[in-house]
Amino acid sequence: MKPAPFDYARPRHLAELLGTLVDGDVLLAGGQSLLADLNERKRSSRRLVDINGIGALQRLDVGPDSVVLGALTRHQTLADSPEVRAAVPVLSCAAARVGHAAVRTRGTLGGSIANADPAAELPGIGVLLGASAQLRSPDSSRRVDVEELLHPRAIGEQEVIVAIELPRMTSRDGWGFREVSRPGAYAFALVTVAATLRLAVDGTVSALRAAVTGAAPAPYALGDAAGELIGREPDQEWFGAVADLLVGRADPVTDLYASAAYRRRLIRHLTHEVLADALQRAREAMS
Amino acid sequence: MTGVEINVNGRQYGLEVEPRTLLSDALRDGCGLTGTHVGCEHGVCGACTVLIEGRPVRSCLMLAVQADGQDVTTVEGLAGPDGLNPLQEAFRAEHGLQCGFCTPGILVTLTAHLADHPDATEAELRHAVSGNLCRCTGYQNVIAAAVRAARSASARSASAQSDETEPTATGPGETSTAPTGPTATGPVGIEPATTGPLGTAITRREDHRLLSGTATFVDDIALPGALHAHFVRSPHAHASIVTIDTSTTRGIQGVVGVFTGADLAAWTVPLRVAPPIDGLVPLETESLPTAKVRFVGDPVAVVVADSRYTAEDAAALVRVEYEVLQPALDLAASLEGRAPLVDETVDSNVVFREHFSAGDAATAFAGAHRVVRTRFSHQRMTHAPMETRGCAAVWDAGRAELTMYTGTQVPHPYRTQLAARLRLAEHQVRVIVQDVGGSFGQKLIVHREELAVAALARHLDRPVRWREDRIENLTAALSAREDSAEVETAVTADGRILAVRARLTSDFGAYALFPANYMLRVVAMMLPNAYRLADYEYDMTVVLSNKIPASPMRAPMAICTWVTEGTIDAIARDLGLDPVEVRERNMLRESELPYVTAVGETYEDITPYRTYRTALDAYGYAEFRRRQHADRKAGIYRGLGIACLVEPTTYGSAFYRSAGIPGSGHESAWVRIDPSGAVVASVGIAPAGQGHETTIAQAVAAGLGVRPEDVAVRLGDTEVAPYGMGTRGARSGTAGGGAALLAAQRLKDKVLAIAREQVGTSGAPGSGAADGSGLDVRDGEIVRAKDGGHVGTGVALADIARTAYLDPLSLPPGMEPGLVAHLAYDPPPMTYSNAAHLCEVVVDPVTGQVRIERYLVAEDAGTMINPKVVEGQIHGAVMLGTGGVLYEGVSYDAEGNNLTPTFRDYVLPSAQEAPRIEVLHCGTPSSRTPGGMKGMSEGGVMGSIAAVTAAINDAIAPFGLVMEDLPITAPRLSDLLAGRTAALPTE
Repeated sequence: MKPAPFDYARPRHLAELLGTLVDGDVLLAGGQSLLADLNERKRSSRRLVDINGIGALQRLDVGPDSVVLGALTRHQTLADSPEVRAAVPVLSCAAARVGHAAVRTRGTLGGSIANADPAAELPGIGVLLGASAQLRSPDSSRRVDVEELLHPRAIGEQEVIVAIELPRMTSRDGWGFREVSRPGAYAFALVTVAATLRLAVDGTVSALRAAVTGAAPAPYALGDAAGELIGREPDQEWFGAVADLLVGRADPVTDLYASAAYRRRLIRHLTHEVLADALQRAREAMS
Repeated sequence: MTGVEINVNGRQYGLEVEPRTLLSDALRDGCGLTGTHVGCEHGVCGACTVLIEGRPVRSCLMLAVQADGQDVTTVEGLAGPDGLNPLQEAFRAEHGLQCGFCTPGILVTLTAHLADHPDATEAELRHAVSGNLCRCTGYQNVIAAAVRAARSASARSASAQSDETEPTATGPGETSTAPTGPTATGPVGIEPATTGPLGTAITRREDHRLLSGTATFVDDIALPGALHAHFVRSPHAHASIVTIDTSTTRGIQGVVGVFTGADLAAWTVPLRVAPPIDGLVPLETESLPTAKVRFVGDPVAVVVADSRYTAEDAAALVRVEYEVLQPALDLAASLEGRAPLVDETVDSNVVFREHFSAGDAATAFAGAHRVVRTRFSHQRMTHAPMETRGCAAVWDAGRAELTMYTGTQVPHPYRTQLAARLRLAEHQVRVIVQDVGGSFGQKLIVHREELAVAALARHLDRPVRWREDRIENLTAALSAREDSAEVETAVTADGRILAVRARLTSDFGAYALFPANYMLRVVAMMLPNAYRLADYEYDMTVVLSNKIPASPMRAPMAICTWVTEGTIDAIARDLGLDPVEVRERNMLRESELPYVTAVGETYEDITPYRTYRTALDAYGYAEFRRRQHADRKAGIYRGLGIACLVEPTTYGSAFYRSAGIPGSGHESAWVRIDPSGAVVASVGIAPAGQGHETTIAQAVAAGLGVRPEDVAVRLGDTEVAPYGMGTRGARSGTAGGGAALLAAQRLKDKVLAIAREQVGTSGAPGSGAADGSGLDVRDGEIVRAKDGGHVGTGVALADIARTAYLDPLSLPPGMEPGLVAHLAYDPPPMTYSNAAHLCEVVVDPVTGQVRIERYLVAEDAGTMINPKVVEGQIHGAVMLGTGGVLYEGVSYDAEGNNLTPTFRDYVLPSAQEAPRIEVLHCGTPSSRTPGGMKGMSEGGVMGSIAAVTAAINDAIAPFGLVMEDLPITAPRLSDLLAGRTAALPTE
């Protein structure tokens, strides 16, 4: 099918964008979900505002403590850029798993977060690392945790994600990212699990983060619950305790693709794999 | 409208587009570059992939305005001026394409990948193309071609670095003449002729245009001023049509009109399917529904406008008022008479019943050691050709003639039917089929939409075209295979089958576009498979429902192999025997042929036991069992599935008569030598990717004594092709190739008759043998037998042709001038081939994922015209059956809403899921067909449904579970295994 008619604007600067936005406008970033919806006439819009020409949305700044990525940073850049790979390898790994090469050419980090698919890879990494987003609207500017943006209507009508800021990972952070996808060419993620962990010199866990997508209305992280897991030996029992906590916070649906019970089992299965990956990397970093 | 400047393949295009115009449409319609194909418009299939600034992009997920000022590369830009590039050459050499519709997207995707990763491994290449769907090849040769290209790319980059010359061993332009593919371990039986035109794996002549983006699919045909049709479809599974208000579309610029079933009823004749078959209820289908809709997607009106975009806009405004009715979705409810009536003109949803009995099953059951009970249920599937349905109709008012461009498999029967339904004389209709992007049985009839488009072209006196979109294709084209079987088998203590009772049911969907018993009767017919069975009873029931109408789909009988082989495995389980042993005890041996089955079919020239043993021996069965045992102890669940099959092919007229189906099984061909000596041939078949232009050329070459490359082949145009029954039922090789071979031989007889005069009077060497007994044609030259070989006569075919046309007085007395032979060939009632499939899987009990570790086919398709084409057919068929076992399915909710309208939900396997397939050939010629050919393109589906399912059941046997319903998706299998504990293997 073909899209219904719409007007089209392509501002060249952020100021021009903010000056032109009116209620009902739909922002066009990578378009890999939006255009499919428009083609199927599941969505329509009076006007598409194409932000691909705005240079300010394409920054890639790796600082000593944080990484600032413009909203238009493409999945391909996240996956391939040596700077991103060095600073947030778990993000690069996840980005490389989004769709296929053609989707990664166009798809953007900001678009993925704005689209907020509950199973998508990149919002999960945002939640994992405690990323924040810079948002601008014609009359305001705010910074908000990515986790908060992933709920319906969290982004205002005339609000634009400008950039995503993530804490830089250190060489001591072991990490893992795994997913089970639907089969075939679409291959969209069913459930993803990501984790980072750090070891103390005695081999016990000194820091742990973990996040899950595809098992609740929005991605969720271990958060403060990780506290009781710190300081322990990362053995199989500990893996199980992490998985228990993650599964306990799940609220999955049963749909055409999989049952809720299956999604729960995937969390457990992937958590074990991801922790093993993270542990191995953390140990390699120490040796 | 907005002006954009796009640089495509190095050339600047200035286009006026709407903001909403997709880049794919701008490239095709604006730039006229139709090599970029549109397969889904939701970004899943990858057919429309192009490069933008060197990076791959789905051109259906990008607006044309977004490409303003950018550099775009399409498939047309890949080849240099000298022809195909090394990647394209690799695809040609490896037979990496069949219909070629998906190929441009694959080539573009791989171009980008290989540019970044010239050393890519097979696994990486498999992953790289897993966002590109292909329905024909099973990806086997796509991957082989990609690997070949990577090898040559990395060799080039290495040689560039070391400043060496270009490698030549695997360089571009090499054509494969090896008789078997890279994974085949060679012929097991007779050696295929590698020197003659038959049995040689020459590269396909179709491939150059398909690889270079210059092929002509229906939507690529330029028809200036053509209008676009778009159908308004029912959102309800079952509803009365109260009113259709089309006034809302008046005044929309570009809309020519909106037409409904009432219009079509005035212009056309409805479809009546009422062959005189016992137990079959006659049914009629309106050209478009007028009173009620019967499934979600049923067309109720058609908008005609000057563009597809406008037509869709107007369709969204047409207001149809429905009175929603309860749908009939549950087969059991229909059988019990509890379901709403799908068709009020008949008194039940049950539209076919048959009871059949051969021998004395009752006595056999009474004396049986045990009765084994099995159940099999296949889900609804759909064909999903990469090119959806479509057509373009041109009415010539001056001549009162209609030209219909479409992708039908059966041009002549299609024309007969289309003319009758338009109330035109047959000679007023011409059907032209050019390149077709797959069909698999979907493009076998005059679809209601196509009839409407033809009628509208005539009514409006304007060309009208229609291209179905993917959502329509998945929800409203045709579906297949929602078949079930419950089987009781009487057996002896040592596993001998005494008798079988089967209850077969099928959900036929909303309309009878075929006789209702059409598919299920071949399931029942082939259920005895390759086993001795005299006492056989079956009951067959077919019901209508509020789902997509059913049709044959590549291997309409496909579940029969699963039913029989699954039953054999169940016998082995019940009796504690090895499944190999049970097959040994029951399988027919060649010494028992000809064998008349319980349903009256005659098996001859088949070798089921040979292909079975060949497969098992090549596989290493005993070693597998040891590996399986060891792995189970380690918690690895490995299984092997065995499927033997006998494939019915090339249905002859005698079969149709005995089945009560009107129609013929004949095929026709003509072969002509023009005055210059040029050879051209035509047959009534119409390929959708099977490479018939190549294989027919080989058959003609074999019959006439010329080189295949010197034979032009014209297919698909009813003004050119003789009246044949088209491509279906694995008949094109044997019926089509057979007709071509026989026609060519007949023409050669005339050539030699002329040659006898010519050689005898020309004073050429050896002219003494004027009786001609030693003359023949080789590579286009008249030769004479000498000393067990041949010597040239100095007379070429062109000399004979010149005489035949331009010097008729030199012809033998009474001979007609010219060189043409026309021949119709009616094959035997049935030409059986056979195969054995072995599939090894590992099941992950946690994720439920099934990984196919090895897949081996031993096939006996008789004499092969082109082994590479045969293997390609096997690969594709195995993938099609495997897709049904593991991934695909048309799903409906309780209201009859279609839950699988896109490629996101209707999951075709990708290269990531595709097994590597090994093929062994056992070429036992048929004694009844020209050249000994047999059909073979459907057996791969039959075998894979059975083998993959059996392998899974073998793998999960320790969990005490047997899968009886398909598809076995990973989440479903995992859910069923959860909470079960695997029994540890005994020592």
